[in-house]
Amino acid sequence: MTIAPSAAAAAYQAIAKIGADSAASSTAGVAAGGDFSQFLSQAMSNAVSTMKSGEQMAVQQATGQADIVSVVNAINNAELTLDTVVAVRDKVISAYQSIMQMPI
Amino acid sequence: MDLASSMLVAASGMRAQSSRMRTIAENIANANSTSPIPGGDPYRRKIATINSSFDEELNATVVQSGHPVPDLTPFRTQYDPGNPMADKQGYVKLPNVNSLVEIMDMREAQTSYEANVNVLDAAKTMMSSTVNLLTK
Repeated sequence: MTIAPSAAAAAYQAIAKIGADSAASSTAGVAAGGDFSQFLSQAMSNAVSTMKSGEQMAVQQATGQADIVSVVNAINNAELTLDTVVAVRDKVISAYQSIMQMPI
Repeated sequence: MDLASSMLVAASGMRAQSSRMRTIAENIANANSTSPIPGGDPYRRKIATINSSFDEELNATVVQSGHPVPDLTPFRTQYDPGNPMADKQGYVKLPNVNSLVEIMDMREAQTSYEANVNVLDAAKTMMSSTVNLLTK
């Protein structure tokens, strides 16, 4: 392994920047910049609100206020959002761990 | 977010076919409904209407079910002088519903619904497989 620690740190910063940029562009009204933890918490709260809307739809359907197609859509959205957030989190945490375990 | 909007377009197709199915169900259920008053008009067949409309939010053309319109073809008549709903000549008016046509309509609604379900499923699979690239 001939990767300089400074290169790894730069790569991590680049990833954090990309994350912050995508979070700022996907959710309107979010302050630009910020670090990765901020991006992760934003993405997580986004996923939680999507899950909540799916749950709400299911309750509405049970009480006869929503049709089954809306419920399927809401639950699908929730599932896909959660999958995406979990995949991004896993990926970045594994990147972080591989940097932490790097012999200096 | 094209895949997400294609899922919503497919969902609008599913909704439209459901409401078409409701109209067909009404027609089939009332295929033999006579008028409650002697000599009056029986149930008139309804035709489901489906329109397309542009959704600004989705930036895509979705399907909407319109109000069902009445079918203006003449009623069937049956000579049945003993029926209390018969007119003075002894004829009973029956709905202008042809069960064969309704069954064919129902099959078409069913197939269209399944086609939309397949589109939704395919879009979902495409999205999931894209997300799965990250977990490798």
